[in-house]
Amino acid sequence: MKQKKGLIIGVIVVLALLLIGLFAPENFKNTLASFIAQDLRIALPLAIAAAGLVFGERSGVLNLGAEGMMLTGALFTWIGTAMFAGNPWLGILVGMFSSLLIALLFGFLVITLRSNQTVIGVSMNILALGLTSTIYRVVQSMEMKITGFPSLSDLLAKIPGLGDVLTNKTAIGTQLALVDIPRIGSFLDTIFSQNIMIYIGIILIIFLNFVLFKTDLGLKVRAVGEYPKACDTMGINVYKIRYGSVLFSGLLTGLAGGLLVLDIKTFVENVTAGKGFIAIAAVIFGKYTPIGALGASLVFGGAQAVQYLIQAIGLKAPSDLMNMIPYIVTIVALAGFIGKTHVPAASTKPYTKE
Amino acid sequence: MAPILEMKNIVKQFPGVLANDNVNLTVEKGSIHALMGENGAGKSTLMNILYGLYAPSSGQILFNGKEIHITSPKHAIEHGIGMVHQHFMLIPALSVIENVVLGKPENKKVLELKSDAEAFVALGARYNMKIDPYALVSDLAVGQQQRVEILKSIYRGAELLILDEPTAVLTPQEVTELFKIMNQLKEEGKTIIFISHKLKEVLTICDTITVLRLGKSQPSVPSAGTTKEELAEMMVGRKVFLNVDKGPYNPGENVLRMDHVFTKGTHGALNDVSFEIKKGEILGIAGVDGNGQDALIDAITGLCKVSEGKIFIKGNDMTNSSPRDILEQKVSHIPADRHKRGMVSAMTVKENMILISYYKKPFSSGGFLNWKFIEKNAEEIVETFRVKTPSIEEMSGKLSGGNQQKVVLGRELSRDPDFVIAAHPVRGLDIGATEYVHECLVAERDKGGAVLLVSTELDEVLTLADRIAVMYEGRIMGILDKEDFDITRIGMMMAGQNQ
Repeated sequence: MKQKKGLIIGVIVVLALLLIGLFAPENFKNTLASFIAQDLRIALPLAIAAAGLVFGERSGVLNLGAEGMMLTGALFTWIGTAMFAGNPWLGILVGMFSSLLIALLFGFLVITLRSNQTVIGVSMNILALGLTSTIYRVVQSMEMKITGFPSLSDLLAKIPGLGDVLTNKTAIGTQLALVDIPRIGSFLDTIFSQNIMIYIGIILIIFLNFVLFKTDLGLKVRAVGEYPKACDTMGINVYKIRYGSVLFSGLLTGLAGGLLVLDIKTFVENVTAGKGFIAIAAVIFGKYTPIGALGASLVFGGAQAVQYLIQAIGLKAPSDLMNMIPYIVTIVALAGFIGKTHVPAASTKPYTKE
Repeated sequence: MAPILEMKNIVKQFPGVLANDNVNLTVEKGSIHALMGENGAGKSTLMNILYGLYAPSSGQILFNGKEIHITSPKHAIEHGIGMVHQHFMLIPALSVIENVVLGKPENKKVLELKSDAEAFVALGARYNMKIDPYALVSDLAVGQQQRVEILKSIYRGAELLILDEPTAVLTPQEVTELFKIMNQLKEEGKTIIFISHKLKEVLTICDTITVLRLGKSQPSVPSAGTTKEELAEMMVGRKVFLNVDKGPYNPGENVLRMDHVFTKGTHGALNDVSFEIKKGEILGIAGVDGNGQDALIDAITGLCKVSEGKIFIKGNDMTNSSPRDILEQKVSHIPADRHKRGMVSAMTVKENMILISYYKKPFSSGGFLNWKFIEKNAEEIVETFRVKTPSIEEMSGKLSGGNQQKVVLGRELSRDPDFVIAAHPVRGLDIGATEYVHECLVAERDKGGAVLLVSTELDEVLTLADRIAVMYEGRIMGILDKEDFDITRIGMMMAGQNQ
């Protein structure tokens, strides 16, 4: 039933895009395509972080330190990428490792020492903000060479033999061969010729959804967040599952922070600016499922992409007001949803084995 | 037959408490073996050792003749030992089949719920149990959840099944069903350890009985030829009077009148409740826990809002009055949860004694507490109600459960009430303390007081009450007079059926 719903939504979206591509005026098509591209770009780090946080939350740990972990991941991805001569793949591994360390500290405090998750989470954010700002000031004078991830078309072009068939080299760079299709070609190219990480991210999120709901490991994670004592009597190691989930959420928030930096290709102090918290909101808005979190992130991302849309249309509005939109949408979404979704019963409750 | 389980000289030392003191337990294969004892006698400790939740300080466990060391529940399950805990170890937000396979070592990485569900349904059919494997556990009734727990243990290969107070949450009919299943399991050669403090049930279903007292095991006895009185004596260590002497039933005028009362709320809210309690009578409220008993007490004592209807106490309309105004009507309340509502654990006995009357003369005057009088009053109550405490300066939380309840009882009954509301007054108490609390309640009735007794222990209601009202999902299913007390009929009403 649920899977059918997803399929129907997918078909409708594809049909709508095709119809718009075929019949809408050129102007509208361009604006819409860039809006979708912007939305995907903004939503990606949110969705990746949120998918990781879903695992932490499902296991009963509210990771309010997500913002800090994301920020740490961002800084060290930036440094790491520069260290490896601008290689984003190796750089982002450095970033993920750094946030993993923060997650390990967080996990030790809230799981082993059973400290209050809210207090520790908030202090992780303060710690990370201070740490990253300090390190940033030390390294800021050095020259940092950053390259982002390649786009789908760039990557396809490199495939020997097939590259020339799949892509076209034009004045504005490599484009998908799709661009040659009359009417809808360039529309589809703008939407699909994205940063490769967007495709990897979406596949990862679908995979994580499968892991959470269809595998033995996912069942354990969900069970531990509901009734850890029962899991204990069933021979499940509650601490192991919680550590695993928290570390995994740290890994993915770090990845999210890295994506953010590689997208704008620079680091500034507090570059995350609350995105970790928006990711937590996406977890709740997305009903504690990875795919739901992706949907929620697209809504939040859309709220931000609207700014560009408004500018493109030429509407004059104060930019500060525009910047508020995503946060307002977050508040409204949460106010409407909190209390209506099932929160894992053991959320934020430390577990003591007798 | 050979014993399936032998626990020899088990000792478990907790800091400051010797919970098991050289306990011996031998269970024959294919039998139903009762483990009885008062609270704190060491039953749970012993079973938690067997299930791998605690490590024994010393002692030996033989299973099927071989010595085994159980260090975790996982081990216990691998050896074929299953346990159905008093508080079910099921996860409400998951489906039945997800609960069944949770943590099973044979699970594939990607779960094969479909084939597990088929096998599980087939197993249920063998015991005449119809279970929807994809239903959420939170949607199941308590009795069904218990059946899922039992089946789960068997599905995972239990040969020896520990049932911890399994009848506490069931209606009499469900108890009969459970006993049928237990007998069928026995016929199939499974062994059951049945933990209970209900004498009658143990004598009905069990083959052998082992009693624990103060951490020590008494020699096992066969249930055939043993009487209730003998068992009670083994548990308490002295003669116990199981029946309560009551004066003649002589009801006077109305003390409480509920007139079509409704409350708001989703779970167990009152739904058109009407009844009255007269002077000199005990009205018992029977029903499975969570069927509106809490809302009933909260509505009468002013702790929750009545949305429709009226409540009269001694003829005065007290609907939605403040709790203090209601208590001022000489109403005493012995709450169900003494830790949450009955007393403040972190305050001394004498302070707990004045929680209700502290603002009144002679306990205080002009905003200052009169400690001399308070202490004298506390000493008197401690003596009258036989509270065992080192002094009235002792923290209430440090007393035993029975003595804590006596503190609450003493405070409430020393206020010379006209109307006593007693919710589960003996929950968690041993036979000795139970006997005393019951005597006190009957004494109030004989003095001409009205008593509302809420209890999920049907036997308690049957012995004490003059009339019984049965609650189901916030409604009163019916009120029975003493001559109509019939356990089958009450059981039907507890399950929501009324012909």
